[in-house]
Amino acid sequence: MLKVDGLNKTFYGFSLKNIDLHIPKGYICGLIGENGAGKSTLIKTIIGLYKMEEGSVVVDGMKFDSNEAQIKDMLGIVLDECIYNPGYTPLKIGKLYGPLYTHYEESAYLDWLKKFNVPADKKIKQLSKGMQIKFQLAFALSHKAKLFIFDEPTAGLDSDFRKEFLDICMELIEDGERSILFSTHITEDLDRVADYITFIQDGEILLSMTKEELCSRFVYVQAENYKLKLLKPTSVVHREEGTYGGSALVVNSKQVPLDNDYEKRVPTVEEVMYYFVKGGKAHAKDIIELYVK
Amino acid sequence: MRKISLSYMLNRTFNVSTLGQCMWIFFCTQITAVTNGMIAEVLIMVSMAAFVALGAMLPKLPEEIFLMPVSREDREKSIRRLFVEKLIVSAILQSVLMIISVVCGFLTPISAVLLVVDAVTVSYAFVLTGYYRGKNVNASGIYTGTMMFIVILMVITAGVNVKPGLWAIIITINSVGLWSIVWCKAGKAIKGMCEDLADYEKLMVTNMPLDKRAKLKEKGVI
Repeated sequence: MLKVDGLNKTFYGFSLKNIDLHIPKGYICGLIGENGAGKSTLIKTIIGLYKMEEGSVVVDGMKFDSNEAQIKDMLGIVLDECIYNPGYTPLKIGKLYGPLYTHYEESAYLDWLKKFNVPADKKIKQLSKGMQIKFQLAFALSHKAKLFIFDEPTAGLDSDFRKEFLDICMELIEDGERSILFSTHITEDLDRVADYITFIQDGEILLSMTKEELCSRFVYVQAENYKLKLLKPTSVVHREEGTYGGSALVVNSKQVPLDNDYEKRVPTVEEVMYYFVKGGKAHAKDIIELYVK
Repeated sequence: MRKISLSYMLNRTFNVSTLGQCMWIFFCTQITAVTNGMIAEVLIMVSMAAFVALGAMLPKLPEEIFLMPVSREDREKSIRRLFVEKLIVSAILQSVLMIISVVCGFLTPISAVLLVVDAVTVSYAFVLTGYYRGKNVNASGIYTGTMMFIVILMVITAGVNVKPGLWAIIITINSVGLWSIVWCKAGKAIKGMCEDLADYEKLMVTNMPLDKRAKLKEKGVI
């Protein structure tokens, strides 16, 4: 559904370098990375807000450069920062922009707004951040988008709606025809719904694989500090020492001695991200070069 | 269908107060009737300054149009068409007011024509300075310079108590001669502006506060 190849972009001194990203139909890809890693810049480049310097973006077999209007007709976009005119109401936005989409259904839009309890006649600027996200989602759902692009959508949501949002994500891909690119720093959400994880750091993709593969390639180890120090340094992504023991992310369980003093378990997406960030970019690259590629 | 919708949407967003401007020009013509045209010129200048100030406060181009299923070319075309439409509507409304003024005996036909040219130029400069803040220093600078020149002329002519014939020549030079320079310069600028407005990255720079832009320029980032 989405194929990004060799994307390069320099923007205000920050660079996205050689980005490759593939999302097949019917899958959810989680885009993770610390603040300033380039997630939003990548998303804005994919949806054409920023012009890429090199590379290509292909959506459903169509190149973005030559089919901008057709591709945007297929996109359902929810951005962290609502860029709709703050003086407009959701109702007005539906009336103004809805007809620009081939498959827009006003009744569906109003139904979604109602379902999400978004007041249709209240100005965008008067809506809370969570409500603004809900409104954007309602609009994205009302024109039968094929590729949904969510940039930090759950950040301003209460826990109930976050759960509902994730359920909607799962429903969306049920028919195997739609896909989702989902950037978030709440990696717990991705543990629930993502099929693929792409980890971006300092404008470069560090890891991109299925969630199962990501979690099975690494092992989270807890042990006493001196025991952790015995692990082969090149196999440890990062180690943290505490008063009563420490923890480490290790490239795979074979690198951990068969010793009951080491407590091992499968790491969460958040743990993988945390330890890679803490370990530093250079070390992360070495680890990936040695064990992952 | 798509183009109509985009144009309609842009029209709703760019709230240029053409009618208000016309009412102001009409007020100028009333004054003209009793003051030999000079005060009307001053009022037009004041109105220009007011509209420039208003322009700076107008809402920015809605960023959401960059998310909509519209190609870059269509975006650019719609924005350009919007400006042309605004100017035509402004000219038509102002012409109607001038005709009323002429029929009522407030103005001579030639003064009415010149005032319309003035008024539309004001609209033009207003649009440019409002939406092209900072970037279009040349066009707005020329306009302001021209205005200053007219002020000096007016002060001199007021001082020497010129005859109405000479005054008509001054207005002619002002409206047709100097304004045409503004129109030529602004014509090029407006083309660039429409291109910029259709490009999200350029629009971001255009809408950026001047101090932030200066900092980024210093760093060589933009």
